[in-house]
Amino acid sequence: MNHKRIYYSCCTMLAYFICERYYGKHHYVWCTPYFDASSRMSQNNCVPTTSNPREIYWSLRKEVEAGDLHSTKVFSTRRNIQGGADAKLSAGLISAATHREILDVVLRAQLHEFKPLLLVIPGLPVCRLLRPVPVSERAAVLSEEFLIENLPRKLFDAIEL
Amino acid sequence: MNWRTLLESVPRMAATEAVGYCMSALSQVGVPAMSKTDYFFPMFRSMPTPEAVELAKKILSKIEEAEGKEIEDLDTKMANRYICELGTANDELIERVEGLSRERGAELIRRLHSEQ
Repeated sequence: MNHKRIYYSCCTMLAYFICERYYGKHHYVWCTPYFDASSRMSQNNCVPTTSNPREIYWSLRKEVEAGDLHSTKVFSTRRNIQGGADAKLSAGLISAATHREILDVVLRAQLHEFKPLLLVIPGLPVCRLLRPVPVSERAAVLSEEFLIENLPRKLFDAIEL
Repeated sequence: MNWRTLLESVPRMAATEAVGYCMSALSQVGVPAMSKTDYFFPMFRSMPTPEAVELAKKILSKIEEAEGKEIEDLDTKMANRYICELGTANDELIERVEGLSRERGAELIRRLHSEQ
């Protein structure tokens, strides 16, 4: 268990923009307490590569910079944003007009809009917002992975490496 | 494979949700068994909807049928190809949502860059 109480996450510029503009600067974040879980400088941990923020950041960045039009991460991100907008519309959290705008933006977004952003989240202010990811959902049973469904912008830093 | 007919068999939002589950399943190809996760994980409290789960299972079984092997036995390249196909089919479906505007989308993207 990591007790330093800093959490890291990776998102795309597009997802960040959508949250800032349409979701009241509240972000949906999947995070771990390690930037690079596989580094020898990190404490022993069970966070696998697929959930390692550093790995996620650089693999996405490479795909975007290579102009990979068939990037599966881009397809998945696009679908996740669309699905998120659908869920918020169904829950009555956004209007139909806002929903249409989000779909418009996502459909027109070019590859470079999917550039990654690293989120650095101090633990103390978000301790009540952190929800452990259910074991069935973690990439490894003992992996430390958390979900914050509505993280206010003022509680984290967003960085381009 | 023609995914459009299959996706059109349910309401658009259920189709998009189902595509998400399929992408999640396909992206776990090649991942060690102990690191695989439940791909029907509800990203939001309102999910998963039964319609979407049923459609996702149907899509995945079509892929298995076409390839003659189970999803987890596909190679990564093949799984990625299906992720792209499904993503493209889902985008085509969304393009037809009433009230969408290419011009507005392009303008909002321009604004995104000017605000950064």
